[in-house]
Amino acid sequence: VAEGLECAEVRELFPELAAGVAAGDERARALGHLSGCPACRREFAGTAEVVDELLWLVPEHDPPAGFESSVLARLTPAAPRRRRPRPRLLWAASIVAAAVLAAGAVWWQTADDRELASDYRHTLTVAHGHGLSAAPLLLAGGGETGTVFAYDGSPSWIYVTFRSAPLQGRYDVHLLTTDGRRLALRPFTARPRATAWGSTIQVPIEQMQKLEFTRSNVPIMTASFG
Amino acid sequence: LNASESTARSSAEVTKAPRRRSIQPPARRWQWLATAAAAVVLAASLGAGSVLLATAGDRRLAAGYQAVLAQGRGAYFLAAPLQATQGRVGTVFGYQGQPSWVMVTLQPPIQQEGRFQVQAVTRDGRYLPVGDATLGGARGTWGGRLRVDLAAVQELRFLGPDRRAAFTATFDTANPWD
Repeated sequence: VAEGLECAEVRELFPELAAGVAAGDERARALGHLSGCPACRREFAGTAEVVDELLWLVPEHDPPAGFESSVLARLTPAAPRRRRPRPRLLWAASIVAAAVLAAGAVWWQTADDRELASDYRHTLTVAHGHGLSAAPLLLAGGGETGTVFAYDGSPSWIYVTFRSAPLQGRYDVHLLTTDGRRLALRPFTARPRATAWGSTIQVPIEQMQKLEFTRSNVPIMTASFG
Repeated sequence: LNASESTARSSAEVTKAPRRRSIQPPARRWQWLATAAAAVVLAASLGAGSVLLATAGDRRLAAGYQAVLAQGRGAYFLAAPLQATQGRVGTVFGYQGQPSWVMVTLQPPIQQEGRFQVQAVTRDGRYLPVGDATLGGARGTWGGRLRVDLAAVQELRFLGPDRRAAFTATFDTANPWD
């Protein structure tokens, strides 16, 4: 029984033995058994013949370095790798971030202007107008004595505030236009408490060139527009 | 090639590959950095430029308005509809500055001329005289100086001879910047 068992064990080693890849101790044990067992020797001769023929099918060249490990790596489930962000994606994100940051900075920087414009636009909407202009009112000597406000709307008007009360008396007021017209407006009578004057005008603001307050045809106060 | 030569070449390729990146020439690296910096600057310029373009109208309007306020030593300019029993008859303009003033225009013109006492009702409940106005007929406008801040004025009233308000204008906001 013991010999029978040994034959079965040795025959299991025949493929490795025939291919020459059996471990040293197993190879020695098997060869020792074959020398005294004609049946196993015959069996082994058949196996060796088959293996020899199979070896012809093996490719001539060795697989490249790393082939074995790469195959094994594919067979074993890969450990979850930490994904590195792609450089192109990073660059795209950086460029978008730069654009958004710059846009945000300009948006923040122009907040006051936008708010101012919004309130101004609201005022103009309420008044059905297009804009308000202002120009300094100058004395003949050159000193500033007030401000002329000109409103472009429906109707358009001029309003003058005096910083110091003008010399008392009656002033003729004329509006000179860019196309050379000289339009007479409502006269202004300066009194101690008269510190402003206003009138509607029939020309667009952009055609206003000069406003004159005259006495005896002598300009006393003037304001230039444009 | 025999098997051993092939193996040797493959091993050499495997060991050479990572070295190739580390020995990138400095000139090429600078070129890459310059390209990257240019891309970022271009993107930032485009972002800023698009917002500047989008807000150009507002900035131009604000600049014109600021120029008016600077010239008129002012802070803001308001408008309110002038109401009568029959509805809107004109507009009251208010200017907060040095000095502050109000200006009234009638639109459409009123045929009959009338004399009014102009009164400002302040937000804290005071009634302040502003002046005497003649409106209607050939007089389509009237203006007067305010003795208080425009911010303090809630309503402007034009009182007729019977002391009743013929026209009123309400400033809905005290100060647009608040």
